[in-house]
Amino acid sequence: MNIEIVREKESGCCLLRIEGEMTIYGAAEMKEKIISSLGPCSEIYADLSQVSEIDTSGIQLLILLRREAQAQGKRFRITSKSAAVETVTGLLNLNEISEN
Amino acid sequence: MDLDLSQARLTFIAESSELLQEMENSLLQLESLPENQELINSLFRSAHTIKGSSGVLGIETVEKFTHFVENLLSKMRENEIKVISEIIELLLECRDHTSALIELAAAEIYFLDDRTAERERELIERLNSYLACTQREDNSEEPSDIEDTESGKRARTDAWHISIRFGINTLKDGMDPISFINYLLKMGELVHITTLYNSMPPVAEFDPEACYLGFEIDLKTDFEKKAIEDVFEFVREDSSIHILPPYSKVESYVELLHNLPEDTSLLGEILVKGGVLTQTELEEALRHQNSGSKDDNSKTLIGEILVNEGMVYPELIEAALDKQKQVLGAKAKEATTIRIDANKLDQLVNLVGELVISSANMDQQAQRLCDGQLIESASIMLRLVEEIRENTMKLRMVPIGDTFSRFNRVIRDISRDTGKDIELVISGGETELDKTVIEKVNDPLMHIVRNAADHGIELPEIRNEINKSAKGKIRLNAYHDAGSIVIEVSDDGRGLNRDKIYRKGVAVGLINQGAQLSDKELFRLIFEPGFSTADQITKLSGRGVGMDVVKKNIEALRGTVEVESIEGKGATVRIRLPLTMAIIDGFMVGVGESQYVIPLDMVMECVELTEADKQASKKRNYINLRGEVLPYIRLRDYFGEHGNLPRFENIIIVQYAGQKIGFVVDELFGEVQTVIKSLGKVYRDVKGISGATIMGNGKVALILDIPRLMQSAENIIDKIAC
Amino acid sequence: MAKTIMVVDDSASIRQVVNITLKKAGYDVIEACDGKDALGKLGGKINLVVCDVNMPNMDGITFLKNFKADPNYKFTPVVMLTTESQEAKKQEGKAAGAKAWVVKPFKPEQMLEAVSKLILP
Repeated sequence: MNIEIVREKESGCCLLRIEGEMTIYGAAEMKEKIISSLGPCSEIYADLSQVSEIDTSGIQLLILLRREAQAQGKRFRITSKSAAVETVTGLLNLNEISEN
Repeated sequence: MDLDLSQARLTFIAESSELLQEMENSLLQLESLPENQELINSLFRSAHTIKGSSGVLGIETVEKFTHFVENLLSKMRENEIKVISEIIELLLECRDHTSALIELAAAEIYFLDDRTAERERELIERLNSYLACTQREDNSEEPSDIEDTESGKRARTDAWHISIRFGINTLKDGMDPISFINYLLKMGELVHITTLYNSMPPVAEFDPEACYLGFEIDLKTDFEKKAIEDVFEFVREDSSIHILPPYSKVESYVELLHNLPEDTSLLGEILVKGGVLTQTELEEALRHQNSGSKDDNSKTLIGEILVNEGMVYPELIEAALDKQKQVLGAKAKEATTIRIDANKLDQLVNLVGELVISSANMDQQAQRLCDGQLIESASIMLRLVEEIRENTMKLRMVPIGDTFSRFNRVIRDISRDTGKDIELVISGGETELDKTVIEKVNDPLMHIVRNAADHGIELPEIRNEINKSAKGKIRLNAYHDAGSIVIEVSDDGRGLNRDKIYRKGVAVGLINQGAQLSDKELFRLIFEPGFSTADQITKLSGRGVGMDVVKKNIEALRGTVEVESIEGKGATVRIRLPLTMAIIDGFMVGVGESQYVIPLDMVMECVELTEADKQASKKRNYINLRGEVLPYIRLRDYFGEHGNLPRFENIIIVQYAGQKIGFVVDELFGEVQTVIKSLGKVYRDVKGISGATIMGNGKVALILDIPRLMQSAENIIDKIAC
Repeated sequence: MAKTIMVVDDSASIRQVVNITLKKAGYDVIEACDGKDALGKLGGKINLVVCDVNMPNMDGITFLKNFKADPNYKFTPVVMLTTESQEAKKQEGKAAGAKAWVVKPFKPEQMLEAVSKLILP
């Protein structure tokens, strides 16, 4: 699992690019990183096109991120999903988490 | 055979008061944790249980009202209604109203007086105003059709409904809910799925390795229930799973009844939960049962009614009854506590008391006969009886914590009404004392706490001005101290105003102008009848009928109450109570021809009253005990005893509430166990005696009331202090 | 990328049946003949373990405890192979972290069912 966080200072945008597995083995680290990404920015975009595998812990983190963004009045959006992510969000009827 | 429901009613009343207490606690917690699904679930369960049991017992007043409460909670549970402070407030009021209804029911009053009825109408209106905000009007137990409103078919579709909440450790156990759901695809068509994530805690408490998800799934499949169940075989233990079959398969209903979670053992509830009956059908059946019972005394079993009316299939009833037996069996096995009628316990305590006396008697007889074997047997029995006595007394002991935690609500309400910011700090909740004592101490405690909150704690603005933190503190504490239990209520408020009390004392004629009084003496005035210094009478306290009643109640328990205060810093009210009501270990002494018992815990030592002491103390009533000044009371004089003066007198030294005092007696008999018999009303005013006891030899001994004796000796003590 | 399953059993025939079944379903399979052998073959990516209880050299429970202690595998699901009479062992296995089980003798489909409840293909 690898997370790249790109912040654009001027626009207040934050881009999360997640690569590899979003599974429980990396969940603790992932939680810290995505929550910290929330801090300084006003809009968060998540690029999940390179996620090879996602499990419940990964889904929960996405829900958490969206919930927190919402609570802080920030825009959150999943810009693209890999097939693995698409399968799971489709299966769980969770396409709502893609955007707020 | 007439079903004796009266016992069940008593159980219901006791059980629902516990549930109501739980509801209150949950509601108070919910204020700070509005997202906590577990609290909402627990609230729902409580309301649901109260409604269910009151319904079965035919207590319609309670059933009707809690039905509305349950509806609201059900919507909250499904996140259709958000937790806001107004709703918590409303639910607290509903809780109180339910409690009032149950109290009425306990008194066998099943109609509402105008005020209560008016109150209920108002509450229902407010409940409905929230309920009206949501579209759905069904009362179904299972959230079967989330986001499925347009079809409006509820569980009665040809799809199976699976409701699953995965256990929190599911992921840590190496299992992934997604895989299980994916597996369902192999079994048929996933008509609809809703992922529930509202039990996810706030970020700080969010454990990324924990599982917080639940799912509501509609699945069309030809597989039997067993097969669907088996999908979740590996997570069944830790997850909560409900599977509702499509409407047509009766045999599946039967199986479902067997698989309901074991939280309710009521047939009707099971049938409703199983989706076999609707709530309305159940209510109809119950009404039938009630009206039937008026005509003839034998109640038709609810099951029979349901079958006769063609409402359910006999095999369903059987399954449900089976299930009831299972639940009862399981309960019997799991039970770690049992509920006993307090009267039965009292009877036991009384009998044990008699047993103590008669075995002491037997021991004395044995000693008299000088038969070695008999003495041996008697002493073994005495020891066993002593153990029984100790264990019996323990049965009555309960921790005071529950009583304490009730004050959270009181403080909360006062804070809200007065605009004060008050925090309640509880310690020593595990301290145990006699149940009867706890019940009786509740009211006085309530009064003291209200006083502290109302008169003691200042408004936040004022506290800020005088450099106190805006949040006031009230502390409830309990601990054991030398055979008594001490309960303290302290606050960090303004404390008692010496001058004000003094002036008031003079004004009402309790003291003379110019009298020199110690703090202790002065503060004691607040316990006098008709004494209140509050500038304003508030609805909470301060009508001048209070502290004197507190004192009277505490004294009725053979306890004492005192107050300490530092002006501007706060006050502490300290209640001291005997540990138990019925039996004490005592030390027996003889004075003249009578015998007296002193509670053993208080006895420090015995010394001989020497001739020199006697001479020296002729006029002053105190002796020099190893350099310490010890006041004493000559019991012979105090109780007007006659009889010959012995050659040597003894002084027995007693300590209570940090003070020592001596009693001059003729003879020392040693330790005894005594059963306290209260002295009827006639003797209530005899100062210095708290009760009587019957000795092994059949004679009566009087038990000394040390706290009161000390008070009457206090002028001696104070003189020494000057 | 295909998921990898490790099969630990001292019976070669059972290993074979499981191997064929799982390979056919699209999983990669690693075989080990006892707990010790299995521990030696750890290191790479393993998505699930199927493990017998009674084995020479190192039994299933001991292996399981070692396996779960490895931070790389602590959340990896384990399917215990038990027999009807091994209820106590099953409980022991559960306590050690194997929350799933298949009762021997099993049909190949049963093994596949258990595995597909636990991991995606």
